[in-house]
Amino acid sequence: MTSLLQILLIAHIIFGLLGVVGFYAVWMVLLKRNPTPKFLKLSSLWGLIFLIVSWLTGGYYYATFYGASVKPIVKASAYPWAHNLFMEAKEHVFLFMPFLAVVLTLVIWLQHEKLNAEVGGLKHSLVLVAGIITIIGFIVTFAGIIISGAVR
Amino acid sequence: MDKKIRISSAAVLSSIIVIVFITAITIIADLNPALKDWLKNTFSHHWIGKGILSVVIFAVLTFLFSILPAKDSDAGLAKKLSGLFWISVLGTLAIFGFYFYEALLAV
Repeated sequence: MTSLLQILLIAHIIFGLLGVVGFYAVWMVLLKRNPTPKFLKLSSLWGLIFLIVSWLTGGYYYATFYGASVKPIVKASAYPWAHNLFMEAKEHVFLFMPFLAVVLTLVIWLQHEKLNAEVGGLKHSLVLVAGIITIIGFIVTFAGIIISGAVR
Repeated sequence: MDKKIRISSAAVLSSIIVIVFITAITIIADLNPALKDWLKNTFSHHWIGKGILSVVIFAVLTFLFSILPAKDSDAGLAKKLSGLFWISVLGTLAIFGFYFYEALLAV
């Protein structure tokens, strides 16, 4: 693996985790009685930016290197299910995250003045969306750990 | 009409459709090699193809839904966001369930 690909893989992991941290923070703050709109706006934007960068860096690594060089090793190992189940599911479920993140960030930025009052259940629904982004982020991270373990 | 509600609702509705699209094309392309090959030949990689198509669908639908006349409200936006949550849960379960079957149960 070239140095560029190593850097991209590490960047994918670090930026992905930073993105999930941002949305976890949004989730926790939304659960408070009086969430801080400024914090929610910055934290959701932080999460969105890092998630997009993680998508691009991981995507380049995946599309140019993983399939040709890593996938055959995993499939020939004692743990072929690490690719057949976890990688296949991870790479596709990951695609949900940018859209969920864009929507959550957009709604927080456009509707932030309504978040301190329970307007039509908006805050409760945003809690659900922030939660599912965080949980999918954890699942994707866990799947990545399994795949890395299978390569070794 | 509150323009902010209109744009928010349009984006949420579009993302619901995109998540259904991602789930469907993931499963259908895995069962239909011709579709997977088309994605690969057109976009250089099937996963890149799914990503690009999803972004295009999201952008086009968000634009269309935001200019089409519709009744929007805070309660309606909240319902759409809850729908987005449930669609995401079902999509995640469908994709993991499908690959669980393909990897461990299908012979």
